[in-house]
Amino acid sequence: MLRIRDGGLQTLVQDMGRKEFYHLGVPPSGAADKYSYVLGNILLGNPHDYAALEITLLGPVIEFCKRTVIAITGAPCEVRLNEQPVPMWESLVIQEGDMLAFRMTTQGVKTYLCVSGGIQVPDVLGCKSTYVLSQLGGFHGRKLQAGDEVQIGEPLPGVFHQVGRRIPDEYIPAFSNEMDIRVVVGLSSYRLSDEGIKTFLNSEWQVGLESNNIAYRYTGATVSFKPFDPPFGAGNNSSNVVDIVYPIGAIMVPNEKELILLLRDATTGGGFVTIGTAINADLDLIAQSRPNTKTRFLAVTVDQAIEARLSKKRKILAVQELLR
Amino acid sequence: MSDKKAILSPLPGVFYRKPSPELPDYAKEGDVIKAGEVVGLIEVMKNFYEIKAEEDVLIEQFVVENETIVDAGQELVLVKSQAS
Repeated sequence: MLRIRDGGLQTLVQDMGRKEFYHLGVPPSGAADKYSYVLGNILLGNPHDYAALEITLLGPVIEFCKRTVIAITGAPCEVRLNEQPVPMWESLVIQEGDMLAFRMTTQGVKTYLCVSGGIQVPDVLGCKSTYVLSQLGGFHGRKLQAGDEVQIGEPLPGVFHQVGRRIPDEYIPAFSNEMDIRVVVGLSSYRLSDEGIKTFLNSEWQVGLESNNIAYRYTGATVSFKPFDPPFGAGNNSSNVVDIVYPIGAIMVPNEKELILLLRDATTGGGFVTIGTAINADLDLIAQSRPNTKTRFLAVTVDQAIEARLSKKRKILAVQELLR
Repeated sequence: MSDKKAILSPLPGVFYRKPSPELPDYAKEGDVIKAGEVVGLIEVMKNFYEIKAEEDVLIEQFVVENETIVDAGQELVLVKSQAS
Protein backbone atom coordinates (compact mmCIF):
# COMPACT_ATOMS: atom_id res chain seq x y z
CA MET A 1 0.00 0.00 0.00
CA LEU A 2 1.03 3.60 -0.62
CA ARG A 3 0.14 6.17 2.04
CA ILE A 4 -0.13 9.62 0.47
CA ARG A 5 1.35 12.29 2.76
CA ASP A 6 0.97 15.12 0.23
CA GLY A 7 -0.81 14.82 -3.12
CA GLY A 8 1.25 17.42 -5.02
CA LEU A 9 -0.50 19.51 -7.68
CA GLN A 10 -2.33 16.71 -9.50
CA THR A 11 -1.34 13.07 -9.06
CA LEU A 12 -3.56 10.60 -10.94
CA VAL A 13 -3.75 6.85 -11.48
CA GLN A 14 -3.28 6.24 -15.22
CA ASP A 15 -2.78 3.35 -17.61
CA MET A 16 -3.22 2.92 -21.38
CA GLY A 17 -6.74 4.39 -21.25
CA ARG A 18 -10.21 3.16 -22.20
CA LYS A 19 -10.45 2.54 -25.90
CA GLU A 20 -13.92 1.27 -26.67
CA PHE A 21 -16.26 4.02 -25.52
CA TYR A 22 -15.26 7.00 -27.65
CA HIS A 23 -18.39 6.63 -29.81
CA LEU A 24 -20.45 6.93 -26.61
CA GLY A 25 -18.74 10.18 -25.65
CA VAL A 26 -16.21 8.74 -23.18
CA PRO A 27 -12.67 9.90 -23.99
CA PRO A 28 -9.79 7.45 -23.41
CA SER A 29 -7.89 9.37 -20.69
CA GLY A 30 -4.77 7.42 -19.67
CA ALA A 31 -1.09 8.37 -19.39
CA ALA A 32 -0.49 11.67 -21.19
CA ASP A 33 3.11 10.72 -22.11
CA LYS A 34 2.68 7.08 -23.12
CA TYR A 35 6.34 6.60 -24.05
CA SER A 36 7.71 7.54 -20.61
CA TYR A 37 4.93 5.60 -18.86
CA VAL A 38 5.53 2.40 -20.85
CA LEU A 39 9.31 2.60 -20.35
CA GLY A 40 8.70 2.67 -16.58
CA ASN A 41 6.73 -0.56 -16.81
CA ILE A 42 9.38 -2.12 -19.08
CA LEU A 43 12.09 -1.35 -16.49
CA LEU A 44 10.10 -3.35 -13.93
CA GLY A 45 9.18 -6.21 -16.26
CA ASN A 46 5.51 -5.23 -15.79
CA PRO A 47 3.05 -5.67 -18.65
CA HIS A 48 3.05 -2.36 -20.59
CA ASP A 49 -0.45 -1.44 -19.42
CA TYR A 50 -0.02 -1.77 -15.64
CA ALA A 51 -1.35 1.33 -13.88
CA ALA A 52 1.09 3.98 -12.60
CA LEU A 53 0.90 7.36 -10.89
CA GLU A 54 1.06 10.38 -13.21
CA ILE A 55 2.51 13.46 -11.51
CA THR A 56 1.91 16.98 -12.87
CA LEU A 57 4.57 19.72 -12.34
CA LEU A 58 4.79 19.32 -8.55
CA GLY A 59 4.99 15.87 -7.05
CA PRO A 60 3.55 14.04 -4.06
CA VAL A 61 5.11 12.68 -0.88
CA ILE A 62 4.46 8.96 -0.53
CA GLU A 63 5.11 6.47 2.27
CA PHE A 64 5.56 2.87 1.12
CA CYS A 65 3.96 0.25 3.36
CA LYS A 66 5.44 -2.69 1.43
CA ARG A 67 8.89 -3.72 0.14
CA THR A 68 8.83 -3.43 -3.64
CA VAL A 69 10.63 -2.15 -6.76
CA ILE A 70 9.78 1.11 -8.53
CA ALA A 71 10.85 3.13 -11.57
CA ILE A 72 10.47 6.89 -12.08
CA THR A 73 10.32 8.18 -15.66
CA GLY A 74 9.08 11.20 -17.61
CA ALA A 75 9.70 14.88 -16.88
CA PRO A 76 12.93 15.50 -14.93
CA CYS A 77 12.04 15.99 -11.28
CA GLU A 78 14.06 16.09 -8.08
CA VAL A 79 13.10 12.94 -6.15
CA ARG A 80 14.30 11.99 -2.69
CA LEU A 81 14.06 8.63 -0.98
CA ASN A 82 14.36 9.14 2.79
CA GLU A 83 15.98 12.53 2.04
CA GLN A 84 18.57 11.05 -0.35
CA PRO A 85 18.38 11.93 -4.09
CA VAL A 86 17.54 8.95 -6.32
CA PRO A 87 17.95 8.54 -10.08
CA MET A 88 15.15 8.44 -12.63
CA TRP A 89 14.90 5.92 -15.54
CA GLU A 90 16.27 3.16 -13.27
CA SER A 91 14.64 0.43 -11.20
CA LEU A 92 14.99 1.08 -7.45
CA VAL A 93 14.28 -1.11 -4.43
CA ILE A 94 11.99 0.37 -1.79
CA GLN A 95 11.83 -0.90 1.81
CA GLU A 96 8.72 -0.94 3.94
CA GLY A 97 8.41 2.46 5.66
CA ASP A 98 10.46 4.35 3.02
CA MET A 99 9.39 7.90 2.22
CA LEU A 100 9.53 9.02 -1.41
CA ALA A 101 9.28 12.78 -1.96
CA PHE A 102 8.91 14.37 -5.38
CA ARG A 103 9.57 18.09 -5.77
CA MET A 104 8.86 20.24 -8.81
CA THR A 105 9.67 19.20 -12.36
CA THR A 106 12.48 21.28 -13.81
CA GLN A 107 11.49 20.63 -17.44
CA GLY A 108 8.41 19.01 -18.91
CA VAL A 109 5.15 18.41 -17.07
CA LYS A 110 4.43 14.71 -16.45
CA THR A 111 6.55 12.39 -14.29
CA TYR A 112 5.58 8.72 -13.81
CA LEU A 113 5.93 6.47 -10.80
CA CYS A 114 5.64 2.83 -11.85
CA VAL A 115 5.48 0.09 -9.21
CA SER A 116 6.13 -3.64 -9.64
CA GLY A 117 2.73 -5.31 -9.90
CA GLY A 118 1.07 -1.99 -10.75
CA ILE A 119 -1.22 0.41 -8.89
CA GLN A 120 -4.40 -1.42 -7.89
CA VAL A 121 -7.72 0.38 -8.22
CA PRO A 122 -10.97 -1.09 -9.58
CA ASP A 123 -11.38 -1.17 -13.37
CA VAL A 124 -14.03 1.22 -14.67
CA LEU A 125 -15.08 0.62 -18.30
CA GLY A 126 -12.16 -1.73 -18.72
CA CYS A 127 -9.24 0.26 -17.32
CA LYS A 128 -7.81 2.08 -14.32
CA SER A 129 -7.26 5.54 -15.87
CA THR A 130 -8.70 8.65 -14.22
CA TYR A 131 -11.14 10.87 -16.11
CA VAL A 132 -11.31 13.75 -13.64
CA LEU A 133 -14.06 15.72 -15.41
CA SER A 134 -16.57 12.87 -14.93
CA GLN A 135 -14.98 11.55 -11.72
CA LEU A 136 -14.55 8.23 -13.48
CA GLY A 137 -11.96 5.51 -12.83
CA GLY A 138 -8.61 5.90 -11.08
CA PHE A 139 -8.65 6.47 -7.31
CA HIS A 140 -12.29 7.46 -6.66
CA GLY A 141 -12.23 9.43 -9.92
CA ARG A 142 -9.98 12.17 -8.52
CA LYS A 143 -6.45 13.31 -7.87
CA LEU A 144 -4.68 11.92 -4.80
CA GLN A 145 -4.63 13.89 -1.58
CA ALA A 146 -3.00 13.61 1.84
CA GLY A 147 -4.42 10.67 3.79
CA ASP A 148 -5.27 8.50 0.77
CA GLU A 149 -4.22 4.86 0.93
CA VAL A 150 -3.59 3.39 -2.51
CA GLN A 151 -3.22 -0.37 -3.01
CA ILE A 152 -0.31 -1.73 -5.03
CA GLY A 153 0.16 -5.20 -6.52
CA GLU A 154 2.45 -7.89 -5.16
CA PRO A 155 6.00 -7.41 -6.52
CA LEU A 156 6.41 -9.64 -9.58
CA PRO A 157 8.54 -12.79 -9.18
CA GLY A 158 12.23 -12.10 -9.77
CA VAL A 159 11.88 -8.30 -9.83
CA PHE A 160 14.28 -7.82 -6.90
CA HIS A 161 17.04 -9.35 -9.03
CA GLN A 162 16.52 -6.64 -11.65
CA VAL A 163 17.11 -3.66 -9.38
CA GLY A 164 19.50 -1.10 -10.92
CA ARG A 165 18.43 -1.73 -14.54
CA ARG A 166 18.57 1.51 -16.47
CA ILE A 167 17.10 2.90 -19.68
CA PRO A 168 20.05 3.61 -22.03
CA ASP A 169 20.58 7.38 -22.44
CA GLU A 170 19.73 7.39 -26.16
CA TYR A 171 16.20 6.22 -25.33
CA ILE A 172 15.52 8.89 -22.70
CA PRO A 173 13.43 11.64 -24.31
CA ALA A 174 14.70 15.23 -24.43
CA PHE A 175 12.52 17.82 -22.72
CA SER A 176 12.57 21.29 -24.21
CA ASN A 177 10.82 24.64 -23.95
CA GLU A 178 10.57 24.73 -27.74
CA MET A 179 8.47 22.11 -29.50
CA ASP A 180 7.85 21.14 -33.11
CA ILE A 181 4.51 19.36 -33.36
CA ARG A 182 3.62 17.51 -36.57
CA VAL A 183 0.07 17.87 -37.86
CA VAL A 184 -2.02 16.52 -40.70
CA VAL A 185 -3.89 19.55 -42.06
CA GLY A 186 -7.52 18.87 -42.71
CA LEU A 187 -11.04 18.10 -41.57
CA SER A 188 -12.33 21.65 -41.90
CA SER A 189 -9.17 23.55 -42.85
CA TYR A 190 -11.04 24.67 -46.02
CA ARG A 191 -12.85 27.13 -43.76
CA LEU A 192 -9.61 29.04 -43.12
CA SER A 193 -8.26 31.48 -45.69
CA ASP A 194 -5.01 30.54 -47.48
CA GLU A 195 -3.36 33.28 -45.47
CA GLY A 196 -4.84 31.73 -42.29
CA ILE A 197 -3.32 28.31 -43.03
CA LYS A 198 0.05 29.92 -43.80
CA THR A 199 -0.02 31.88 -40.55
CA PHE A 200 -0.91 28.71 -38.61
CA LEU A 201 2.13 26.88 -40.01
CA ASN A 202 4.60 29.77 -40.04
CA SER A 203 3.96 31.27 -36.62
CA GLU A 204 5.39 30.58 -33.20
CA TRP A 205 2.58 29.72 -30.79
CA GLN A 206 2.69 29.75 -26.99
CA VAL A 207 1.18 27.21 -24.60
CA GLY A 208 -1.45 28.75 -22.28
CA LEU A 209 -1.40 28.36 -18.48
CA GLU A 210 -4.81 26.65 -18.46
CA SER A 211 -3.67 23.78 -20.73
CA ASN A 212 -4.18 20.32 -19.22
CA ASN A 213 -5.05 16.68 -20.00
CA ILE A 214 -8.29 17.83 -21.63
CA ALA A 215 -6.79 20.30 -24.08
CA TYR A 216 -3.85 22.57 -24.78
CA ARG A 217 -4.48 26.20 -25.64
CA TYR A 218 -2.16 28.19 -27.89
CA THR A 219 -2.02 31.90 -28.68
CA GLY A 220 0.47 34.12 -30.48
CA ALA A 221 -0.85 34.60 -34.01
CA THR A 222 -4.07 35.35 -35.89
CA VAL A 223 -5.56 32.86 -38.35
CA SER A 224 -8.31 34.27 -40.55
CA PHE A 225 -11.45 32.46 -41.67
CA LYS A 226 -12.89 32.57 -45.18
CA PRO A 227 -16.15 34.43 -45.59
CA PHE A 228 -18.80 31.73 -45.36
CA ASP A 229 -22.55 31.23 -45.17
CA PRO A 230 -23.06 28.64 -42.43
CA PRO A 231 -25.17 25.68 -43.61
CA PHE A 232 -28.26 24.41 -41.81
CA GLY A 233 -27.22 22.78 -38.55
CA ALA A 234 -24.11 24.87 -37.96
CA GLY A 235 -23.80 27.76 -35.54
CA ASN A 236 -23.64 31.18 -37.18
CA ASN A 237 -20.11 32.15 -36.14
CA SER A 238 -17.27 31.79 -38.72
CA SER A 239 -15.68 29.21 -36.40
CA ASN A 240 -18.71 26.86 -36.50
CA VAL A 241 -19.35 23.76 -38.58
CA VAL A 242 -22.09 21.13 -38.43
CA ASP A 243 -21.10 18.94 -35.46
CA ILE A 244 -18.44 16.31 -36.11
CA VAL A 245 -16.54 13.72 -34.08
CA TYR A 246 -13.21 15.24 -33.07
CA PRO A 247 -10.16 13.03 -33.44
CA ILE A 248 -7.76 13.10 -30.47
CA GLY A 249 -5.16 15.70 -31.38
CA ALA A 250 -7.71 17.81 -33.31
CA ILE A 251 -6.74 21.49 -33.40
CA MET A 252 -9.86 23.63 -33.11
CA VAL A 253 -10.00 27.29 -34.06
CA PRO A 254 -12.71 28.73 -31.77
CA ASN A 255 -11.73 32.26 -32.82
CA GLU A 256 -8.99 33.83 -34.95
CA LYS A 257 -6.66 34.40 -31.99
CA GLU A 258 -6.65 31.00 -30.35
CA LEU A 259 -6.06 27.29 -31.01
CA ILE A 260 -7.38 24.48 -28.81
CA LEU A 261 -5.65 21.12 -29.23
CA LEU A 262 -7.70 18.24 -27.85
CA LEU A 263 -5.89 15.62 -25.76
CA ARG A 264 -6.95 12.32 -24.22
CA ASP A 265 -9.54 13.72 -21.76
CA ALA A 266 -11.24 15.91 -24.36
CA THR A 267 -14.80 16.17 -25.52
CA THR A 268 -15.38 13.65 -28.31
CA GLY A 269 -17.31 15.90 -30.67
CA GLY A 270 -18.64 19.36 -31.37
CA GLY A 271 -19.09 22.13 -33.89
CA PHE A 272 -15.81 24.07 -34.12
CA VAL A 273 -13.66 24.37 -37.22
CA THR A 274 -10.61 22.10 -36.94
CA ILE A 275 -7.58 23.22 -38.92
CA GLY A 276 -5.70 19.93 -38.54
CA THR A 277 -4.82 17.06 -36.22
CA ALA A 278 -1.62 16.58 -34.26
CA ILE A 279 -0.16 13.17 -35.09
CA ASN A 280 -0.39 10.38 -32.53
CA ALA A 281 3.42 10.11 -32.23
CA ASP A 282 3.63 13.73 -31.00
CA LEU A 283 0.83 13.64 -28.38
CA ASP A 284 3.42 12.79 -25.70
CA LEU A 285 5.45 15.89 -26.62
CA ILE A 286 2.37 18.09 -26.38
CA ALA A 287 1.51 16.75 -22.92
CA GLN A 288 5.10 17.45 -21.82
CA SER A 289 4.94 21.10 -22.99
CA ARG A 290 5.05 23.43 -20.00
CA PRO A 291 2.98 26.61 -19.99
CA ASN A 292 4.63 29.24 -22.26
CA THR A 293 6.44 26.62 -24.36
CA LYS A 294 7.10 27.97 -27.86
CA THR A 295 5.44 25.68 -30.38
CA ARG A 296 5.56 25.38 -34.16
CA PHE A 297 3.20 23.20 -36.16
CA LEU A 298 4.70 21.30 -39.09
CA ALA A 299 2.49 19.84 -41.83
CA VAL A 300 3.03 16.15 -42.64
CA THR A 301 1.15 13.60 -44.75
CA VAL A 302 -0.90 10.72 -43.35
CA ASP A 303 1.84 8.31 -44.55
CA GLN A 304 4.48 10.27 -42.63
CA ALA A 305 2.22 10.27 -39.55
CA ILE A 306 1.82 6.47 -39.72
CA GLU A 307 5.57 6.01 -40.23
CA ALA A 308 6.25 8.21 -37.15
CA ARG A 309 3.84 6.10 -35.10
CA LEU A 310 5.47 2.83 -36.23
CA SER A 311 8.96 4.15 -35.60
CA LYS A 312 7.95 5.06 -32.04
CA LYS A 313 6.56 1.56 -31.51
CA ARG A 314 9.82 0.06 -32.84
CA LYS A 315 11.77 2.21 -30.39
CA ILE A 316 9.76 0.83 -27.45
CA LEU A 317 10.26 -2.73 -28.67
CA ALA A 318 14.01 -2.07 -29.04
CA VAL A 319 14.24 -0.90 -25.40
CA GLN A 320 12.31 -3.95 -24.30
CA GLU A 321 14.72 -6.20 -26.24
CA LEU A 322 17.76 -4.45 -24.69
CA LEU A 323 16.45 -4.94 -21.16
CA ARG A 324 15.29 -8.50 -21.62
CA MET B 1 17.25 37.11 15.89
CA SER B 2 14.83 37.45 13.05
CA ASP B 3 15.76 36.38 9.61
CA LYS B 4 14.54 37.75 6.24
CA LYS B 5 13.36 35.25 3.68
CA ALA B 6 11.20 34.97 0.58
CA ILE B 7 8.46 32.47 -0.14
CA LEU B 8 8.96 31.28 -3.72
CA SER B 9 6.40 29.94 -6.18
CA PRO B 10 7.04 26.22 -6.82
CA LEU B 11 5.03 26.45 -10.05
CA PRO B 12 4.43 28.65 -13.06
CA GLY B 13 0.88 30.02 -12.93
CA VAL B 14 -1.43 32.74 -11.64
CA PHE B 15 -0.95 33.95 -8.05
CA TYR B 16 -4.06 34.65 -5.97
CA ARG B 17 -4.09 36.21 -2.51
CA LYS B 18 -7.62 35.08 -1.64
CA PRO B 19 -9.48 31.74 -1.77
CA SER B 20 -12.20 33.23 -4.02
CA PRO B 21 -13.01 36.69 -5.42
CA GLU B 22 -15.60 37.56 -2.76
CA LEU B 23 -13.55 36.37 0.23
CA PRO B 24 -10.88 38.35 2.13
CA ASP B 25 -7.14 37.87 1.55
CA TYR B 26 -5.50 34.89 3.25
CA ALA B 27 -2.97 37.23 4.89
CA LYS B 28 -1.95 40.89 4.96
CA GLU B 29 1.36 42.66 5.29
CA GLY B 30 2.21 42.88 8.99
CA ASP B 31 0.40 39.63 9.90
CA VAL B 32 2.18 36.89 11.80
CA ILE B 33 1.21 33.47 10.47
CA LYS B 34 2.01 29.99 11.67
CA ALA B 35 3.86 27.21 9.86
CA GLY B 36 1.47 25.45 7.49
CA GLU B 37 -0.89 28.42 7.08
CA VAL B 38 -1.81 29.47 3.56
CA VAL B 39 -0.54 32.79 2.13
CA GLY B 40 -1.90 32.40 -1.41
CA LEU B 41 -2.81 30.11 -4.29
CA ILE B 42 -1.16 29.29 -7.60
CA GLU B 43 -3.46 28.23 -10.41
CA VAL B 44 -1.95 26.29 -13.28
CA MET B 45 -3.35 23.66 -15.66
CA LYS B 46 -6.78 24.15 -14.04
CA ASN B 47 -5.48 23.08 -10.62
CA PHE B 48 -5.01 25.22 -7.53
CA TYR B 49 -2.04 24.77 -5.23
CA GLU B 50 -1.90 26.32 -1.75
CA ILE B 51 1.27 28.22 -0.92
CA LYS B 52 2.01 27.68 2.76
CA ALA B 53 4.48 29.15 5.23
CA GLU B 54 7.16 26.61 6.14
CA GLU B 55 7.64 28.14 9.60
CA ASP B 56 6.12 30.88 11.79
CA VAL B 57 6.71 34.16 9.93
CA LEU B 58 5.90 37.87 9.90
CA ILE B 59 4.68 38.94 6.46
CA GLU B 60 6.74 41.97 5.41
CA GLN B 61 5.66 42.47 1.82
CA PHE B 62 3.78 40.83 -1.05
CA VAL B 63 6.17 41.15 -3.98
CA VAL B 64 3.52 40.26 -6.59
CA GLU B 65 -0.08 41.46 -6.70
CA ASN B 66 -3.24 39.38 -6.78
CA GLU B 67 -3.79 37.64 -10.16
CA THR B 68 -0.22 38.18 -11.38
CA ILE B 69 1.28 35.54 -13.69
CA VAL B 70 4.42 34.17 -12.06
CA ASP B 71 7.17 31.76 -13.01
CA ALA B 72 8.44 28.76 -11.04
CA GLY B 73 11.01 29.99 -8.53
CA GLN B 74 9.75 33.60 -8.52
CA GLU B 75 9.54 35.45 -5.18
CA LEU B 76 5.96 35.87 -3.94
CA VAL B 77 6.19 37.15 -0.37
CA LEU B 78 9.00 38.58 1.75
CA VAL B 79 8.82 37.32 5.32
CA LYS B 80 10.74 37.50 8.57
CA SER B 81 11.24 34.28 10.48
CA GLN B 82 9.69 34.37 13.94
CA ALA B 83 11.70 31.42 15.23
CA SER B 84 13.65 32.39 18.33
